[in-house]
Amino acid sequence: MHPHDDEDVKLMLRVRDGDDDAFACLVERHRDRVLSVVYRYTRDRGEAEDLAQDVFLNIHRNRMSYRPEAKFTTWLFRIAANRGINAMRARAVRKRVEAPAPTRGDGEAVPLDEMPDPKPAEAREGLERRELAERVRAAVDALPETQKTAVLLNKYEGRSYEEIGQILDLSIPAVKSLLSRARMRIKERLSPHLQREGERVAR
Amino acid sequence: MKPNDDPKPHDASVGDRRDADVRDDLVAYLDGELDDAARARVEARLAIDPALADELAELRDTWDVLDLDEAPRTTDGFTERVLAETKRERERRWWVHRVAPVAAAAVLVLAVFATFRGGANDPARTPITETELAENLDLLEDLDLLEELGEDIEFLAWAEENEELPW
Repeated sequence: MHPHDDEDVKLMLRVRDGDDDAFACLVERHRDRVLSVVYRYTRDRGEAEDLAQDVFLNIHRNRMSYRPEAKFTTWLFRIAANRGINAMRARAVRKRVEAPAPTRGDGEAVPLDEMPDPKPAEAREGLERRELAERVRAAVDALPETQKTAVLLNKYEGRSYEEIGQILDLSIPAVKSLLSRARMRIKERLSPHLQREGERVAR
Repeated sequence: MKPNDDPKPHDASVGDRRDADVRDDLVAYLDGELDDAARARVEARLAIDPALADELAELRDTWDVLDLDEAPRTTDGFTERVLAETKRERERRWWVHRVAPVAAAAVLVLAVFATFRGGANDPARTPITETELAENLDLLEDLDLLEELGEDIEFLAWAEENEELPW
Protein backbone atom coordinates (compact mmCIF):
# COMPACT_ATOMS: atom_id res chain seq x y z
CA MET A 1 0.00 0.00 0.00
CA HIS A 2 1.30 3.45 -0.87
CA PRO A 3 1.75 5.60 2.23
CA HIS A 4 -0.63 8.22 0.84
CA ASP A 5 -3.42 5.62 0.80
CA ASP A 6 -3.06 5.22 4.56
CA GLU A 7 -5.91 7.06 6.31
CA ASP A 8 -3.55 8.00 9.16
CA VAL A 9 -1.08 9.51 6.71
CA LYS A 10 -3.84 11.69 5.25
CA LEU A 11 -4.72 12.86 8.75
CA MET A 12 -1.06 13.50 9.60
CA LEU A 13 -0.62 15.62 6.47
CA ARG A 14 -3.56 17.73 7.67
CA VAL A 15 -1.91 17.98 11.11
CA ARG A 16 1.25 19.20 9.39
CA ASP A 17 -0.86 21.94 7.80
CA GLY A 18 -2.10 23.04 11.22
CA ASP A 19 -5.40 21.13 11.46
CA ASP A 20 -6.01 20.47 15.19
CA ASP A 21 -9.15 18.43 14.50
CA ALA A 22 -7.10 15.99 12.45
CA PHE A 23 -4.64 15.68 15.33
CA ALA A 24 -7.48 14.99 17.77
CA CYS A 25 -8.72 12.31 15.40
CA LEU A 26 -5.28 10.65 15.25
CA VAL A 27 -5.01 10.65 19.04
CA GLU A 28 -8.47 9.10 19.34
CA ARG A 29 -7.60 6.39 16.82
CA HIS A 30 -4.36 5.33 18.47
CA ARG A 31 -4.47 6.31 22.15
CA ASP A 32 -5.21 2.81 23.46
CA ARG A 33 -2.71 0.97 21.32
CA VAL A 34 0.06 3.44 22.25
CA LEU A 35 -0.81 2.97 25.92
CA SER A 36 -0.82 -0.79 25.43
CA VAL A 37 2.75 -0.69 24.08
CA VAL A 38 4.26 1.62 26.70
CA TYR A 39 2.37 -0.03 29.57
CA ARG A 40 4.05 -3.37 28.89
CA TYR A 41 7.43 -1.71 29.35
CA THR A 42 6.58 0.19 32.52
CA ARG A 43 3.86 -1.97 34.15
CA ASP A 44 2.60 1.24 35.77
CA ARG A 45 -0.66 2.67 34.51
CA GLY A 46 -0.03 6.28 35.53
CA GLU A 47 3.49 6.37 34.13
CA ALA A 48 2.30 4.63 30.95
CA GLU A 49 -0.42 7.22 30.40
CA ASP A 50 2.10 10.05 30.83
CA LEU A 51 4.37 8.32 28.31
CA ALA A 52 1.51 7.81 25.86
CA GLN A 53 0.70 11.52 26.13
CA ASP A 54 4.36 12.30 25.54
CA VAL A 55 4.37 10.14 22.38
CA PHE A 56 1.54 12.22 20.87
CA LEU A 57 3.12 15.50 21.96
CA ASN A 58 6.34 14.40 20.28
CA ILE A 59 4.42 13.75 17.06
CA HIS A 60 2.76 17.15 17.29
CA ARG A 61 6.10 18.90 17.92
CA ASN A 62 7.65 17.23 14.88
CA ARG A 63 4.66 17.61 12.58
CA MET A 64 6.38 20.15 10.33
CA SER A 65 9.15 17.70 9.44
CA TYR A 66 6.76 14.80 8.77
CA ARG A 67 7.36 13.01 5.44
CA PRO A 68 4.96 10.19 4.51
CA GLU A 69 7.59 7.60 3.57
CA ALA A 70 5.93 4.67 5.36
CA LYS A 71 2.77 3.86 7.26
CA PHE A 72 1.99 6.35 10.00
CA THR A 73 1.89 3.55 12.59
CA THR A 74 5.52 2.68 11.78
CA TRP A 75 6.53 6.13 13.00
CA LEU A 76 4.08 6.04 15.90
CA PHE A 77 5.21 2.65 17.20
CA ARG A 78 8.86 3.53 16.79
CA ILE A 79 8.39 6.55 19.06
CA ALA A 80 6.24 4.55 21.50
CA ALA A 81 8.76 1.69 21.67
CA ASN A 82 11.67 4.10 22.22
CA ARG A 83 9.80 5.88 25.01
CA GLY A 84 8.88 2.53 26.56
CA ILE A 85 12.40 1.15 26.38
CA ASN A 86 13.87 4.30 27.95
CA ALA A 87 11.31 4.14 30.75
CA MET A 88 12.03 0.43 31.28
CA ARG A 89 15.77 1.11 31.54
CA ALA A 90 15.19 3.94 34.01
CA ARG A 91 12.89 1.70 36.04
CA ALA A 92 15.46 -1.11 36.07
CA VAL A 93 18.11 1.27 37.40
CA ARG A 94 15.74 2.55 40.12
CA LYS A 95 14.83 -1.03 41.06
CA ARG A 96 18.49 -2.05 41.37
CA VAL A 97 19.14 0.89 43.66
CA GLU A 98 16.01 0.46 45.79
CA ALA A 99 15.63 -3.31 46.20
CA PRO A 100 18.11 -5.89 44.94
CA ALA A 101 16.53 -9.05 43.44
CA PRO A 102 16.50 -12.20 45.58
CA THR A 103 19.77 -14.03 45.12
CA ARG A 104 21.21 -17.42 45.87
CA GLY A 105 24.31 -17.77 48.01
CA ASP A 106 26.48 -17.26 44.91
CA GLY A 107 24.79 -13.93 44.21
CA GLU A 108 23.04 -15.13 41.06
CA ALA A 109 19.41 -14.02 40.64
CA VAL A 110 16.80 -16.66 41.46
CA PRO A 111 14.74 -17.53 38.37
CA LEU A 112 10.99 -17.01 38.72
CA ASP A 113 10.41 -20.76 38.38
CA GLU A 114 12.40 -21.41 41.54
CA MET A 115 10.66 -18.78 43.62
CA PRO A 116 8.08 -20.07 46.04
CA ASP A 117 4.49 -19.92 44.81
CA PRO A 118 2.92 -16.71 46.14
CA LYS A 119 -0.04 -18.43 47.90
CA PRO A 120 0.10 -22.22 47.48
CA ALA A 121 -2.73 -22.86 49.94
CA GLU A 122 -5.27 -20.71 48.11
CA ALA A 123 -5.76 -22.75 44.98
CA ARG A 124 -8.89 -21.08 43.73
CA GLU A 125 -9.41 -20.81 40.00
CA GLY A 126 -9.36 -17.02 39.92
CA LEU A 127 -6.16 -16.94 41.88
CA GLU A 128 -4.52 -19.50 39.61
CA ARG A 129 -5.52 -17.51 36.60
CA ARG A 130 -4.00 -14.42 38.19
CA GLU A 131 -0.87 -16.36 38.98
CA LEU A 132 -0.64 -17.62 35.42
CA ALA A 133 -1.16 -14.06 34.17
CA GLU A 134 1.68 -13.00 36.49
CA ARG A 135 3.94 -15.70 35.05
CA VAL A 136 3.00 -14.61 31.52
CA ARG A 137 3.94 -11.02 32.38
CA ALA A 138 7.21 -12.24 33.89
CA ALA A 139 7.97 -14.29 30.77
CA VAL A 140 7.35 -11.28 28.50
CA ASP A 141 9.34 -8.97 30.75
CA ALA A 142 12.27 -11.40 30.89
CA LEU A 143 12.79 -11.20 27.11
CA PRO A 144 15.75 -9.22 25.83
CA GLU A 145 14.74 -5.68 24.84
CA THR A 146 14.48 -6.15 21.05
CA GLN A 147 12.75 -9.52 21.32
CA LYS A 148 10.25 -8.00 23.72
CA THR A 149 9.53 -5.10 21.38
CA ALA A 150 9.05 -7.51 18.47
CA VAL A 151 6.65 -9.62 20.57
CA LEU A 152 4.64 -6.58 21.69
CA LEU A 153 4.29 -5.36 18.13
CA ASN A 154 3.49 -8.78 16.70
CA LYS A 155 1.30 -10.33 19.36
CA TYR A 156 -0.52 -7.34 20.82
CA GLU A 157 -0.52 -4.88 17.93
CA GLY A 158 -0.78 -7.36 15.06
CA ARG A 159 2.06 -5.79 13.11
CA SER A 160 3.50 -7.73 10.17
CA TYR A 161 7.16 -8.80 10.00
CA GLU A 162 7.71 -6.14 7.35
CA GLU A 163 6.41 -3.32 9.54
CA ILE A 164 8.27 -4.59 12.62
CA GLY A 165 11.42 -4.57 10.48
CA GLN A 166 10.80 -0.95 9.56
CA ILE A 167 10.14 0.01 13.18
CA LEU A 168 13.24 -1.76 14.50
CA ASP A 169 15.46 -1.13 11.45
CA LEU A 170 15.82 -4.85 10.78
CA SER A 171 15.44 -7.05 7.71
CA ILE A 172 12.44 -9.38 7.45
CA PRO A 173 14.61 -12.53 7.97
CA ALA A 174 16.08 -10.89 11.08
CA VAL A 175 12.59 -10.22 12.44
CA LYS A 176 11.60 -13.80 11.65
CA SER A 177 14.56 -15.14 13.60
CA LEU A 178 14.03 -12.66 16.45
CA LEU A 179 10.40 -13.67 16.91
CA SER A 180 11.26 -17.34 16.64
CA ARG A 181 13.83 -17.05 19.46
CA ALA A 182 11.39 -14.99 21.55
CA ARG A 183 8.64 -17.56 21.15
CA MET A 184 10.96 -20.42 22.04
CA ARG A 185 11.98 -18.60 25.24
CA ILE A 186 8.36 -17.93 26.14
CA LYS A 187 7.48 -21.55 25.45
CA GLU A 188 10.31 -22.77 27.68
CA ARG A 189 9.16 -20.56 30.54
CA LEU A 190 5.45 -21.14 30.26
CA SER A 191 5.08 -24.73 29.06
CA PRO A 192 5.59 -26.30 32.53
CA HIS A 193 2.88 -24.08 33.99
CA LEU A 194 0.50 -24.83 31.13
CA GLN A 195 1.06 -28.57 31.67
CA ARG A 196 0.36 -28.14 35.40
CA GLU A 197 -2.80 -26.20 34.53
CA GLY A 198 -3.81 -28.97 32.08
CA GLU A 199 -3.27 -31.67 34.74
CA ARG A 200 -5.35 -29.67 37.23
CA VAL A 201 -8.22 -29.35 34.76
CA ALA A 202 -8.02 -33.10 33.97
CA ARG A 203 -8.30 -34.06 37.70
CA MET B 1 43.86 -37.77 7.76
CA LYS B 2 41.88 -36.45 4.86
CA PRO B 3 40.28 -33.04 5.40
CA ASN B 4 36.77 -34.49 5.34
CA ASP B 5 37.38 -37.59 7.45
CA ASP B 6 35.65 -36.11 10.48
CA PRO B 7 32.81 -33.93 9.27
CA LYS B 8 31.05 -33.90 12.66
CA PRO B 9 31.66 -30.30 13.80
CA HIS B 10 30.70 -28.96 10.41
CA ASP B 11 27.60 -31.15 10.30
CA ALA B 12 26.61 -30.18 13.85
CA SER B 13 26.61 -26.49 13.01
CA VAL B 14 24.68 -27.14 9.81
CA GLY B 15 22.26 -29.25 11.87
CA ASP B 16 21.83 -26.47 14.44
CA ARG B 17 21.27 -23.98 11.69
CA ARG B 18 18.78 -26.29 10.02
CA ASP B 19 16.92 -26.70 13.34
CA ALA B 20 16.86 -22.94 13.79
CA ASP B 21 15.57 -22.51 10.24
CA VAL B 22 12.82 -25.07 10.85
CA ARG B 23 11.81 -23.28 14.08
CA ASP B 24 11.85 -19.92 12.33
CA ASP B 25 9.61 -21.35 9.60
CA LEU B 26 7.31 -22.92 12.17
CA VAL B 27 6.82 -19.60 13.96
CA ALA B 28 6.40 -17.71 10.69
CA TYR B 29 3.88 -20.37 9.66
CA LEU B 30 1.84 -19.66 12.80
CA ASP B 31 2.07 -15.95 12.07
CA GLY B 32 0.89 -16.43 8.48
CA GLU B 33 4.12 -14.90 7.20
CA LEU B 34 5.26 -17.67 4.81
CA ASP B 35 4.79 -17.63 1.06
CA ASP B 36 2.85 -20.47 -0.58
CA ALA B 37 5.89 -22.66 -1.31
CA ALA B 38 7.34 -22.38 2.22
CA ARG B 39 3.94 -23.00 3.76
CA ALA B 40 3.51 -26.17 1.69
CA ARG B 41 6.97 -27.37 2.81
CA VAL B 42 6.11 -26.86 6.48
CA GLU B 43 2.76 -28.60 6.13
CA ALA B 44 4.35 -31.57 4.35
CA ARG B 45 6.88 -31.93 7.15
CA LEU B 46 4.23 -31.57 9.87
CA ALA B 47 2.29 -34.42 8.28
CA ILE B 48 5.18 -36.87 8.77
CA ASP B 49 6.83 -35.51 11.92
CA PRO B 50 4.65 -35.83 15.07
CA ALA B 51 7.34 -34.22 17.26
CA LEU B 52 7.28 -31.15 15.07
CA ALA B 53 3.48 -31.12 15.19
CA ASP B 54 3.67 -31.25 19.02
CA GLU B 55 6.12 -28.36 19.01
CA LEU B 56 3.79 -26.37 16.79
CA ALA B 57 0.90 -26.99 19.20
CA GLU B 58 3.03 -25.99 22.17
CA LEU B 59 4.19 -22.80 20.45
CA ARG B 60 0.60 -21.95 19.60
CA ASP B 61 -0.64 -22.60 23.17
CA THR B 62 2.06 -20.54 24.85
CA TRP B 63 1.44 -17.73 22.36
CA ASP B 64 -2.30 -17.80 23.02
CA VAL B 65 -1.80 -17.66 26.78
CA LEU B 66 -0.05 -14.29 26.34
CA ASP B 67 -3.57 -12.89 26.03
CA LEU B 68 -3.65 -13.05 29.84
CA ASP B 69 -1.20 -10.14 29.88
CA GLU B 70 -3.82 -7.44 29.51
CA ALA B 71 -3.10 -3.74 29.12
CA PRO B 72 -5.34 -0.98 30.51
CA ARG B 73 -7.19 1.50 28.36
CA THR B 74 -6.56 5.24 28.43
CA THR B 75 -8.60 7.19 30.96
CA ASP B 76 -11.43 9.56 29.99
CA GLY B 77 -10.26 12.96 28.79
CA PHE B 78 -6.93 11.65 27.44
CA THR B 79 -7.33 13.32 24.04
CA GLU B 80 -8.48 16.61 25.61
CA ARG B 81 -5.42 16.63 27.88
CA VAL B 82 -3.09 16.05 24.94
CA LEU B 83 -4.73 18.86 22.97
CA ALA B 84 -4.57 21.24 25.95
CA GLU B 85 -0.87 20.50 26.33
CA THR B 86 -0.21 21.19 22.63
CA LYS B 87 -1.95 24.54 23.11
CA ARG B 88 0.24 25.35 26.14
CA GLU B 89 3.36 24.35 24.19
CA ARG B 90 2.33 26.60 21.30
CA GLU B 91 1.86 29.55 23.68
CA ARG B 92 5.21 28.89 25.33
CA ARG B 93 6.88 28.82 21.90
CA TRP B 94 5.20 32.13 20.99
CA TRP B 95 6.69 33.78 24.08
CA VAL B 96 10.09 32.28 23.47
CA HIS B 97 10.13 33.53 19.88
CA ARG B 98 9.03 37.04 20.84
CA VAL B 99 10.80 37.59 24.16
CA ALA B 100 14.06 35.72 23.60
CA PRO B 101 15.53 38.15 21.00
CA VAL B 102 14.68 41.15 23.22
CA ALA B 103 16.20 39.46 26.27
CA ALA B 104 19.32 38.55 24.30
CA ALA B 105 19.72 42.17 23.16
CA ALA B 106 19.31 43.40 26.75
CA VAL B 107 21.94 40.95 28.00
CA LEU B 108 24.31 42.13 25.28
CA VAL B 109 23.85 45.80 26.25
CA LEU B 110 24.41 44.99 29.92
CA ALA B 111 27.51 42.95 29.08
CA VAL B 112 29.00 45.85 27.07
CA PHE B 113 28.19 48.25 29.88
CA ALA B 114 29.70 45.95 32.52
CA THR B 115 32.86 45.58 30.44
CA PHE B 116 33.35 49.36 30.31
CA ARG B 117 32.66 49.83 34.00
CA GLY B 118 34.50 46.79 35.30
CA GLY B 119 37.54 47.34 33.13
CA ALA B 120 38.64 50.47 35.03
CA ASN B 121 38.73 48.67 38.38
CA ASP B 122 39.95 45.27 37.16
CA PRO B 123 43.15 44.44 39.07
CA ALA B 124 43.90 41.68 36.62
CA ARG B 125 44.19 44.25 33.86
CA THR B 126 47.59 44.46 32.13
CA PRO B 127 49.66 47.11 33.97
CA ILE B 128 50.13 50.24 31.89
CA THR B 129 53.59 51.30 30.93
CA GLU B 130 55.23 54.62 31.83
CA THR B 131 54.88 55.79 28.23
CA GLU B 132 51.13 55.08 28.30
CA LEU B 133 50.87 56.94 31.61
CA ALA B 134 52.56 59.97 30.13
CA GLU B 135 50.41 59.93 26.99
CA ASN B 136 47.15 59.72 29.02
CA LEU B 137 48.06 61.96 31.91
CA ASP B 138 45.12 64.33 31.30
CA LEU B 139 42.74 61.44 31.30
CA LEU B 140 44.13 59.99 34.50
CA GLU B 141 43.79 63.30 36.30
CA ASP B 142 40.04 63.24 35.59
CA LEU B 143 39.66 59.52 36.36
CA ASP B 144 37.57 59.98 39.51
CA LEU B 145 35.18 62.33 37.75
CA LEU B 146 34.85 59.99 34.75
CA GLU B 147 34.09 57.01 36.99
CA GLU B 148 31.39 59.01 38.72
CA LEU B 149 29.88 60.02 35.42
CA GLY B 150 30.17 56.43 34.18
CA GLU B 151 27.54 55.37 36.72
CA ASP B 152 25.01 57.61 35.01
CA ILE B 153 23.52 55.63 32.11
CA GLU B 154 21.96 58.72 30.53
CA PHE B 155 25.31 60.46 30.50
CA LEU B 156 26.97 57.44 28.92
CA ALA B 157 24.33 57.31 26.22
CA TRP B 158 24.66 61.02 25.54
CA ALA B 159 28.42 60.87 25.56
CA GLU B 160 28.50 57.92 23.18
CA GLU B 161 26.13 59.70 20.80
CA ASN B 162 28.25 62.86 20.85
CA GLU B 163 31.56 61.02 20.74
CA GLU B 164 32.55 62.62 24.02
CA LEU B 165 33.76 59.48 25.75
CA PRO B 166 37.50 59.48 26.25
CA TRP B 167 37.93 55.75 25.50
